[in-house]
Amino acid sequence: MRVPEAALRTQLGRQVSHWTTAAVNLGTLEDLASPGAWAALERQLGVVLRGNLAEALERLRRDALVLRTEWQRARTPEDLARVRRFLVAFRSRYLRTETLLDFYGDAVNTRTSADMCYALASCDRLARHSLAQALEPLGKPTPPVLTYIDKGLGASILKAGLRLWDGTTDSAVAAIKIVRHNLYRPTALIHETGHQFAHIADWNRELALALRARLARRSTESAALWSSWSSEIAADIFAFLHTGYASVAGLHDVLSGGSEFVFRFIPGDPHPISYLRVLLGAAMCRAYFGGGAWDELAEAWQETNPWQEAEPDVQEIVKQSLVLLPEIVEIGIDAPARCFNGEALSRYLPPARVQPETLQELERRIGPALYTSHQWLSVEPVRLLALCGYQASIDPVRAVEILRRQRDWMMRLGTLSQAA
Amino acid sequence: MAVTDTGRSSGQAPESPFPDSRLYSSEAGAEENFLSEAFSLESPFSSVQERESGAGTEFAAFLSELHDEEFDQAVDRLVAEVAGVYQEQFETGSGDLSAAATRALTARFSPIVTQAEAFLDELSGGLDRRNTDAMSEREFEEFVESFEASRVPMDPELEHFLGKLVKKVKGFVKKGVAAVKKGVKAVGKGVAKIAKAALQKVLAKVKKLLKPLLDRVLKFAINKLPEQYRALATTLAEKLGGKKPEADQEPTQEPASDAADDTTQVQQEFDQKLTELMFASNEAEQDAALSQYITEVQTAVPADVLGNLDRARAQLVKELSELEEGQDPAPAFERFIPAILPALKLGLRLIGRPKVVKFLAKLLAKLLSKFVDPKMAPALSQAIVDAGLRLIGLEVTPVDEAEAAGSAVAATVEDTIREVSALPDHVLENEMLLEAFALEAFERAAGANMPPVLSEEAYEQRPDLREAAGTKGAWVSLPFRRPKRYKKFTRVMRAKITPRVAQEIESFCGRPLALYLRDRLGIPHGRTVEANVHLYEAMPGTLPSSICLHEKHVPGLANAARFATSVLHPLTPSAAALLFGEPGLGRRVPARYLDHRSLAAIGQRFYYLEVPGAQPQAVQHEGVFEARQPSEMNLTLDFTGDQLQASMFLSEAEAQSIAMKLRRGHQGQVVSALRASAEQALQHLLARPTAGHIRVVHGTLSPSLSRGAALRLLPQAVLESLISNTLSWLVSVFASQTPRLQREFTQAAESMADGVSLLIGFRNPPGFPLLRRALSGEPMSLYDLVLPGGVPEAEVRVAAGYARA
Repeated sequence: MRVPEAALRTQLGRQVSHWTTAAVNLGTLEDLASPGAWAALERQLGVVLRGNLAEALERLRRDALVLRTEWQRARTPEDLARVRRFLVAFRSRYLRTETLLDFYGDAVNTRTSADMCYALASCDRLARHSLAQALEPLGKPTPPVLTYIDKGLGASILKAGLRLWDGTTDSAVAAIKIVRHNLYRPTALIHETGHQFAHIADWNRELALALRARLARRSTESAALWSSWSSEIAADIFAFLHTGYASVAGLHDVLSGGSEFVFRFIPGDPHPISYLRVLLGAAMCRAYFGGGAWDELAEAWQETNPWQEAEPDVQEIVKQSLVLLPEIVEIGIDAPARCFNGEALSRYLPPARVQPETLQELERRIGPALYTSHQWLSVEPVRLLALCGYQASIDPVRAVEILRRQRDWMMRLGTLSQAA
Repeated sequence: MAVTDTGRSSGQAPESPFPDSRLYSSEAGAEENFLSEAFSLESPFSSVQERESGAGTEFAAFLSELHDEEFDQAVDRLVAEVAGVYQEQFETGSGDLSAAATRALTARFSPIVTQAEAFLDELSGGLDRRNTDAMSEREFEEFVESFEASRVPMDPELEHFLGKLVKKVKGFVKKGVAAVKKGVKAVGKGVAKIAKAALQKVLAKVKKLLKPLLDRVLKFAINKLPEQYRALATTLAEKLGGKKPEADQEPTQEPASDAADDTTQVQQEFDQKLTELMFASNEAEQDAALSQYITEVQTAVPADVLGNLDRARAQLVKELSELEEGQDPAPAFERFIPAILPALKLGLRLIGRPKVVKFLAKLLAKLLSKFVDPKMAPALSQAIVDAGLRLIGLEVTPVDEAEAAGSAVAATVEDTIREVSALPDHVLENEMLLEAFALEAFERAAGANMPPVLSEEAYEQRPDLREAAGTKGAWVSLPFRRPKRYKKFTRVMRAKITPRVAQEIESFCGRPLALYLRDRLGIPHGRTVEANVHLYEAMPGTLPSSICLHEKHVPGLANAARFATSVLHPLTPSAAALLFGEPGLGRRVPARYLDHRSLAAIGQRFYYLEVPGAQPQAVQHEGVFEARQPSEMNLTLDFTGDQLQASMFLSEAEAQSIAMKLRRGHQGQVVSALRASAEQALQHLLARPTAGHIRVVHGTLSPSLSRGAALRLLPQAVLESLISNTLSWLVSVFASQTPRLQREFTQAAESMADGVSLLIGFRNPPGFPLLRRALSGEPMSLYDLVLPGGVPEAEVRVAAGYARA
């Protein structure tokens, strides 16, 4: 039996009212996060993020208006069918926009206390500084960075420039999750900004091609595999060039989760096998700094995690890869790339800047002002992270004291961001 | 143009590409001679050579010493804060809410008064508990410094002001006692032997000054100042030896009009009252001084000059929009012009000449006829839209577009009248000359306020009729739908600023823009910056902070109201040429508008640099975020104590660079860097002395002259000699003291304070007696133009953060 048009219209009308009202009730940005949390964002970041979210909300509300108008104008069964299709699409759009808003609202809302505001503002600044240092010489704009705290083992990033959940809004800020245990030792943050850097510079694709082409001379299987890991290798290289051995030690500590974890291999996973990742980091240190604490780290890593305990296929990958590590380092850091204007990345981020001796010389030259002067905090925050990370890594006895000092300067850096 | 004996032009009437103005000439001829209504004013610039007589000398010296530049800045900040609240909440354009605003804002100020009173009570009580007679001057200073205002939760800006007020009062007490110790007879009458009772009485009187002081600040913020405080000025003149208050004007001042009242009056008046309290012979004199101040502040009828202008401007725009085809706009202009005049420094001269006003109204009506004709007016709106109205970052409605056209006409009238009001009497009294000069003024005003409306051919023949050849823009009065507080150029200019260019462009106080880029934006020296440049113009009522307040959509400007003059820079022709190659968009203004205070001239232009990616540098100081301080030099030429104090503040970036060199033992490089910094600062300070960074303590100078302006009275050769000598003394100190100060300096650099200050005092500097006499009005011989050489005895102190001697 055919349902009367009036009944169809009523049923549709109720749903249209429900969802369009819901879109209106998504409210203001102040409803998403507390005023204090919004106020704790560095101003430019706040302006950009608010603009981005307001744009998504506005777009949803415009769609709601169109839906309501379409329903009001619908006269024929065909019209009603079109409204029904539009309604289904709108529901989906609503839910995706809600996800988008909740994501950023939750992220902003993690600035729950004054200390957390300063700590995360400091991370925002470190992240942005690391990006600007590499992007500005390439003539690329640096996006604002919003860091937020969450549980877990590792950091993650929602890159700026990606299409967001609602399918129409491009993210204007890079949102980086920093995990609690690493809040005051945030070298992983720089790994995540490495992803953003590679995205903006369009490095991943070129690195993948270079790895495939160069390594294929020795093993096509290894070339294909390392090529598939190029995005994570790029991020590891970026972290190394900014924070030196501190990034390698930090990575080591996160990946030290027992043999099963260390040798886990998931085909298609962009992360290299953890065992190889740590050794690649040590190889970077060796290539540019000579011998040092990283040699001990690599030996201990291999001792603790004998590769013979891995699955046979992983053993094969490891065996083939170990000899390739120096070349992979050279391809990533010293090989010219089109995306870097035909130069090597090391031209823009010379590894010597984060060599332990250079970092210690920096401390010696500047003295205690390095940790107290807002001038140095503004100019050298990332190398300060590298220095403290290095010192804490080689001196576990003083590590607590060093990391406390790091916490102190990070809080100071955070206050500078708050004021900006 | 030749002018006959009768003052009439022997040639043709002035020509202009704007509508024919000659028609008016014949009408003007029919008018009766308006010269009979003219009147002349006394020149405000009489001789500034001053008096030299006993108590007056000591009074003036004490007054100069009391002045605290930081207090002026605190007043500026408080005025900016309160003006922001007033403009947002009360100045909505829907009626005069100033009475309600005064009540609300007075209540807001009350914690300052309460806390300052408590501080004075505490200090007074402390005097009871200690034997101050037995204290040395240093011990007494430490005793006074041990008192602080109690910390109660308060708006950070109020707390900042309270801190500076307390500092000022402490300075007053310490200076009073120091003067007694030095044997200043006149002061001795008030606080003989530092008698506790007398000092306590003075402190009790100071308490009574607090409310009126805050009341004055409030009136500044809401533009409700009485026109003049004549009685206060007269009292000061009497104390200084009978000179008229006009003699206190700065020398060689150009006839520019302040856009808003000069807030430094607040401190000048407060200092005057403090000094009178200290110098009073008896309590009756003290009470008289107090009651005069309180009465003036509380009973003076505020003149709502700005409010009247706002209403008249809105009325003009309305009347123009309602004109019928062919209707003469002259009556509307005639009603509008009298409202403009009180806001202009020399506007009074036209108020007394109603026929001149009528003449100008008719001339302007003729010249502007095609812009206000209802058939043609929409074309003006469209031309403004074409000139980029919708690009200024605001949501612009069709109503705003129409309003922008009316405002452009009003602004053209205002600017024309402003220029005409400054014309000399002989021009105002001769209608032919007046017409020619008024036409020129109109063309400049139209070129500035109208979008490009003439043909390209017309502009080729008369390039002076547009400000920018390569940019099609217009100046628009903002904010929309509210009383107008500033103008903005519709186009955001793009600038590529190389390090050399940044070094060449002078910002306020003659500081190179490079210092701003380094110290405020954290951009390292040597980096080329690409910036969006937003252009603004002051009009009656403009405070630099109000530009920030209304430009919320401009990144980095919205929250900078507290330090507006740190983010806005003077747009001079030279700056406009160097930044974006359009010198015509810059404006020259008298030097007094180029120091760092919040005082703008009507018509003065500013620019704001929006540098994508730059992070404004700020530090947290006592719970309040402050903009990082750029390097600066301050000088006190104390002719009563025969000493020169140089306070050299090195910004954090500069201090760290020097500390690093010191740690590496590169003392030669340190001396060289300090010399370069000192030379640059001295060149700007002494070659073109502006208020704020120079204090001259001299027994014969009025407060306004003692803030740098007095040095402009000296021959250029003497100033150059003073620069050269001071620099060589400083270099000598740097060279001899650097090894000794290494430890102190690096420790100061390691502290969390912003920057490091070097406080250098020179005793009996060679040439000072000569300068003292010259400033007293004694003639100088040609042989004295080069000051004598020699290096005076010096004392150096290092302080973490910002400090001034």
